[in-house]
Amino acid sequence: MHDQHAENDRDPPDEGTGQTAEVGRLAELQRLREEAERRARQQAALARLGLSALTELDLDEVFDRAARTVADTLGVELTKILELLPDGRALLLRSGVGWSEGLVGSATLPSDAGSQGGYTLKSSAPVVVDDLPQETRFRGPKLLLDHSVRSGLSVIIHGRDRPWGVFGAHTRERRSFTPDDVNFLQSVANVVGAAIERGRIARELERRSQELALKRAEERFRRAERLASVGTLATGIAHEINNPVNSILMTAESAQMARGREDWPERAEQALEIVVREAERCGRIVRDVLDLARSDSRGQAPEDLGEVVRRGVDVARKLTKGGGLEVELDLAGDLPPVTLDAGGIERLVVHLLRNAIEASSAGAAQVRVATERAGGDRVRLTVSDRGRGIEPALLERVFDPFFSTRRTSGGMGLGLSLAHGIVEEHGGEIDVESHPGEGATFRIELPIAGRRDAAGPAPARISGGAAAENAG
Amino acid sequence: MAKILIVEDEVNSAQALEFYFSDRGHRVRTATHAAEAIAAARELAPDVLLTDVLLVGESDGLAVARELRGGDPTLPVVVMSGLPEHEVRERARGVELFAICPKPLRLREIGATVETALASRGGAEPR
Repeated sequence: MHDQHAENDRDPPDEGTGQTAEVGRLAELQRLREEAERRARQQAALARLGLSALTELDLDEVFDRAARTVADTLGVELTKILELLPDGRALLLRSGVGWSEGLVGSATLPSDAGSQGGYTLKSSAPVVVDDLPQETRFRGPKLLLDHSVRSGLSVIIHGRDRPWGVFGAHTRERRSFTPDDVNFLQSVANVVGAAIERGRIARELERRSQELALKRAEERFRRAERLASVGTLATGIAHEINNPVNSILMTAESAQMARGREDWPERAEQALEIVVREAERCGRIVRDVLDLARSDSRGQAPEDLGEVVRRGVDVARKLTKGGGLEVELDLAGDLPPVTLDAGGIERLVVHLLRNAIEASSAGAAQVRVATERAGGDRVRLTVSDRGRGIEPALLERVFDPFFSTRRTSGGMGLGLSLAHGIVEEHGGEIDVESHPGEGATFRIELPIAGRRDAAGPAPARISGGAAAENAG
Repeated sequence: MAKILIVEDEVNSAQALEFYFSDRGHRVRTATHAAEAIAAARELAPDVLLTDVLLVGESDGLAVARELRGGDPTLPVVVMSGLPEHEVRERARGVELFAICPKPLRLREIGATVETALASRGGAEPR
C-alpha cells in the first residue's frame, strides 16, 4: 500500500509551463508533508496504545482505549470492536465510539454478508467502503444505516485459531480511506488481538494452577487416609517382622536337624548368634512401631532450633560411626526461640540424615542441613542430599509406614513415617522434592509458637518430587 | 540329586535353605538379587527355582521366574513370600507358579514342596 505512494513520489514532474508547474510542485510538497505528519501521528498513537495494552489487565479497558485512539487518530465519528460469538453466527458490538446509547455491549450483527463486519470475516482482508448506499458486496446492516454511515473500513482481529472479531471505523461524510489508514487500523487490531491472547494465556495459567492446587490437596488427603489406615500399618508390620522371624525359624530348625552330626557344635553356635541378631531386629521394629503410635505434644518448650539440630546431627554421626556422612550446616543466627520438643526434633534430624545416607552410595552421603526464618511466624528446616533421588511415581508414598525402596539391612521403612509424625506433633508441615539422580530435599516448617491446638494434627504435604530411600 | 536355585535377600534364611538342601544331596546356588540370580541360572541350569518376591534394589523374584521360564518353560517356580497370596499372584502376571509358600516357613514344609516340584518335572534330570 505504501508502494502506491512511492510510485506517486517517483512520478515524472509535470513539464507544463511556468506557474502551473510551480503551483503543482508546491501542492505536491504540501501533500507529502501532511502525509508524513499523519503517519507520524498514527505511529505515535499506536506506540502509546501498545504500551498500555501491555500493562492493562482489563480487556474492556484495552478495547475502549483502542476504539478512542482510532476515532481520534483517523478523525472518524464511529469506531467499533466486534467479537465473533462462540457459535460463529453473530458479531457482538463489544466496544466502540459514537453509537447510540445502550448499543455497546448488546447489539449484534450477522456474521455473513449481511454486514460489513461479516463480509470482512469472509474476505479475510481489510474492507474499504467508499459509499455504503452504493455498496454491492454486502448488505448495509441496520446498525450502520441507522447511524447514517457513508464510508468506512474494517479489518480482522486475529485470534489463536480463528478470527476473534472485526475492528471497524466509519464516517457519516463520504471519505476515501488511504492505504495508510488501513495499515494503521490493522496495526491497532493486532495490538488488540495480542492483548486478547495474553488474557487468554493468563486465564489458562490461572486455571492450571488451580487444578494443580486441587491435585496437591487430593494427594495430601489420600496420604492422610493411607497413614491412618490400620490395614496399611498391619500389613507393613507383618511383612517387616516376617523376615527376621523367618530367619530365626529356619536357622533354628536347620540347627536342630544338624544335631548329632560332626559339625553340630559350630552349627548350633552360629544359629544362636543369628537368632539373637534377628530377634533384636524384631525388637527394633516393635520399638519403632511404638514410636509411630506415640503422640505426645507435651514436653514442648522454647528452644534454640540450631542447637537442637546440631545435636541431632551429632547423634546421626555417632550412629554411623562417623563414616560416610558429610554434613554442611547452614544455621541461621537470627532465629527466635522455637517452642518444640527437643528430643523429637533431634530424632527428626536423625531420621532424615539416615534416609540421606541410605539414598547415597556407600560412604559418600553429602547432606546440607539449613535453618531459616519462613513466612508467617514459622521457621524452616531443610535437609538436602545428593543421593539417588526418588521416582515421581513413588514420591507420594515416601511417608507411608514401611514404604522403602531398599530392602537390605538397616532400618525398616519407618524413618520417614516417624519424621512425618514428629512434624505433625509440632503442628508443622513436611514436604519433599526430588528428581531421580539429583538427590532429594526435605523441607520442614514449624510454627515458632509450637503447636497451639492440641486437637487435630496439621496436615503435612508432599510437593514436587520426593526422594526417600527409606531404610528397608 | 537335583539343581536348586535359591533367590532370597535375607542371607540367614538363604543359608538355612542352602544347608537344608545341600544336606539332602542337592546342588544349590543362592542369589540375593535378580541380576545375580539370572547369572547363576546360566551356570547352574536349575531344575527348580525357589524365590522370594521382594529383593534388594527393587528387583523382583517373579521377574527372575519370568526370565528363566522364557528359556526353560517347564521350570517349576516355588515362591516364598511374606506378601499376601493375592498380591503375589498379581505380581506374577501370567508366570505359572508351582506353589506359593507363605513366610515364615518351616524347612521341612518347603523341602517337601520342592521335592514335589522336582517330581512334577519328571524325576531326576540328566546332569
